[in-house]
Amino acid sequence: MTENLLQQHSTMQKKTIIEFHDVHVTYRNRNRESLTGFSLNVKQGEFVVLTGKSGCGKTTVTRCINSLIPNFFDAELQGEVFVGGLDIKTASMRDISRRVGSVFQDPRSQFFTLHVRSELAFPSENYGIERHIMQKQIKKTVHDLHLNTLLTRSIFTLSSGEKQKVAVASVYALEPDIYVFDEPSANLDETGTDQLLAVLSILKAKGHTVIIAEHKLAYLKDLLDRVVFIEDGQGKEEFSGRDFFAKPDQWFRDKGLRHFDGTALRPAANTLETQAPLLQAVAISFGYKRGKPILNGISLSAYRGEITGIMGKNGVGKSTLLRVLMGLEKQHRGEILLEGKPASTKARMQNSFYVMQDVDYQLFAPSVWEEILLGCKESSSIVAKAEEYLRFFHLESYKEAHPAALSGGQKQRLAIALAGMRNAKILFLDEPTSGLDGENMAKVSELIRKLAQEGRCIFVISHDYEFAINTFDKIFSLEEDGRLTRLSFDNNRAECSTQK
Amino acid sequence: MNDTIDFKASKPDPRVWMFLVVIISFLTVLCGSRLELFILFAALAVIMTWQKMLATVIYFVAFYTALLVLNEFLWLISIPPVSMVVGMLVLLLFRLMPVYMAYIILLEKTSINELIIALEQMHIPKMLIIPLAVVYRYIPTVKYEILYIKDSLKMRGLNPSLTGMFLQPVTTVEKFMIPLLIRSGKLADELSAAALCKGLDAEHPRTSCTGVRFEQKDAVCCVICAVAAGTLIFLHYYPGFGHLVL
Repeated sequence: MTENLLQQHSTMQKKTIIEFHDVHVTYRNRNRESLTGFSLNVKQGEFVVLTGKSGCGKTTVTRCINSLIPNFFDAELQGEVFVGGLDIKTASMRDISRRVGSVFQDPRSQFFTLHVRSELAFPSENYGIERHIMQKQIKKTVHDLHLNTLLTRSIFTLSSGEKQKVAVASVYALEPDIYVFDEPSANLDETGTDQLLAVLSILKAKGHTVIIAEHKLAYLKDLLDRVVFIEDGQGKEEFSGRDFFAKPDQWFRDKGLRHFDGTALRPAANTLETQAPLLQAVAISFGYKRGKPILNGISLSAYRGEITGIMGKNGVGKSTLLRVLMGLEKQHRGEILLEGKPASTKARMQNSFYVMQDVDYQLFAPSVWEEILLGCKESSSIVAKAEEYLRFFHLESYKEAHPAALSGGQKQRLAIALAGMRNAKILFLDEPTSGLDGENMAKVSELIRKLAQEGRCIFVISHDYEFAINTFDKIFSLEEDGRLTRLSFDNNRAECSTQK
Repeated sequence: MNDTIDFKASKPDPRVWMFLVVIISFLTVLCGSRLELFILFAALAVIMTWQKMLATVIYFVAFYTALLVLNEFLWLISIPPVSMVVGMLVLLLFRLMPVYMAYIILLEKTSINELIIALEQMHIPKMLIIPLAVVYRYIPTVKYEILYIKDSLKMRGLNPSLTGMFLQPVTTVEKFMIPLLIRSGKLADELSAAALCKGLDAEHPRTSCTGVRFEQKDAVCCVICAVAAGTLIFLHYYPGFGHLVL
């Protein structure tokens, strides 16, 4: 108790470093306010997490802190925002950026150079810092964040976790007081999340102020000082970390938040192995031209109505496994059977549909309605089916909208609806829930179950345990030696244990 | 603390490679005979080998040989319309290949921040440099984008292959361009936001971590380039001297 008071006392004394006062933000191309009277005070050295459903305005808050609003995004800003004593309406982007280091969601598009070493130098070069000082700071960064092994690598060869680490490092060299993250874990697997966590712990230990907008909070449990729950553009409630994680499961569901501690969830237990398998892989191997094989003698059977989850580290070859199964690549050894008969790549491709991780690549048509009918012969039954799917996927009011204008969750749902429209017997999904909030995740899970119940056989790659445990009938893990192990869920832990 | 970090600027200087691109572009326009184009190809292959870009060299040599074989084959079978069209295409490729190779060297051997600094030192306005740098950064990612789109077209039953393109050019281009443009727009936005948050702007002078300088040996490289180019042009306009030497 006294310790708590002491802690409170010491934070009281620290000065406020970020201040939002009755802030309203409206993006020009949207007709409603993204922030509606948002207020927040952050003290120096605090670790604050912003959470809430997709579209609640948490990303907008981060954009005000690094002053991309109003400097970059076309948005109207009312109210007052002070960051490190600077008014974001009048201060230049450059002055704010000197004090605020930003890390974004997609590690692919936040690097300006293509090598780790030059990326570390890039911000310091922009600020015209003298060479010997810059070199000393880079050395310090490499030492503090343990980057020695990554230093000479090309950005393209890094794993997602390593990319986020480098993204932090490149702003770390400038020694900003404030770090702001927008969903940094969205594209990360468990190892990547651990790497990110390690870097965040260092930032906190060094007394920096950290603001994170995030859906998955469990990994931040031991670091965060305060959770700000945002709803409809307003800071609705604030909690200490302990109070937040003590909330009942129903509360998280009602708020549309993600929540995973492994206790309240049970694995879906469906055994369908009595019928004949739809897809069978017999000792398949595959590897690209050089280097070790990615798939090494993999055998599996999948049944109608069954959802098979494939987990494993980033970059281990899960997507490659899917590509071989669906016929985009030909296996080097082994055989793949469809309904008991050997199937060529072409036959597999005709029977499969693939929902990619980045659905932007899959949407071609100028409207949702045309998109869903694309590649189908138009007939009254197809139109009826399309309408049914749009209704079921909660997209009927977006019929005329351009697919690019949909939100992340809506795009993902549309892509899964496309899969339903095609009479593919086998469906492959790559990370369908990355970056989705609790509510959208639950929807996606429900939709995938519906498609399975219609008699499809479904394969899903995911890092998302909360989603996995509620959706999959069977889970495999692809290991680094190219072999597949079957996993089973342990009810009391977030981790999976290997079944002998 | 690790003190072994290497902060040397890459050599030769970005300006040497830019000079090479310009010279090669001029030469392919000025000297268009097959022998001359072959000399340019050979010279660039040697430069690539010098820069240890072995995989790239092998790829280009194989491609060049394939083109040569195809060209000879066309003369042998001699079906007028086919030989004409394909022959023209092959000649066009022969002409474009050296420029493409020079560009690949520039892309592979220069990091973007050194390129920006080199351009700044040449007093090129920053309003030009920054968009140029974004384009330069975007090119290597286009390849991945196109591969993704191709896969997704295949899965939707639309044929992204060459034959498909000939059979339904408009649909294919449309289906290719829409996702590519949407992705590019998004990527460019995110990239610009990230660069702004890292303090890139048009007004303030930048410094360089690696000390990019145009040194004597860079000048020597440029002079060698220029002399070789001069000789080629001279021989092109006064072929008599070539016969004397040979």
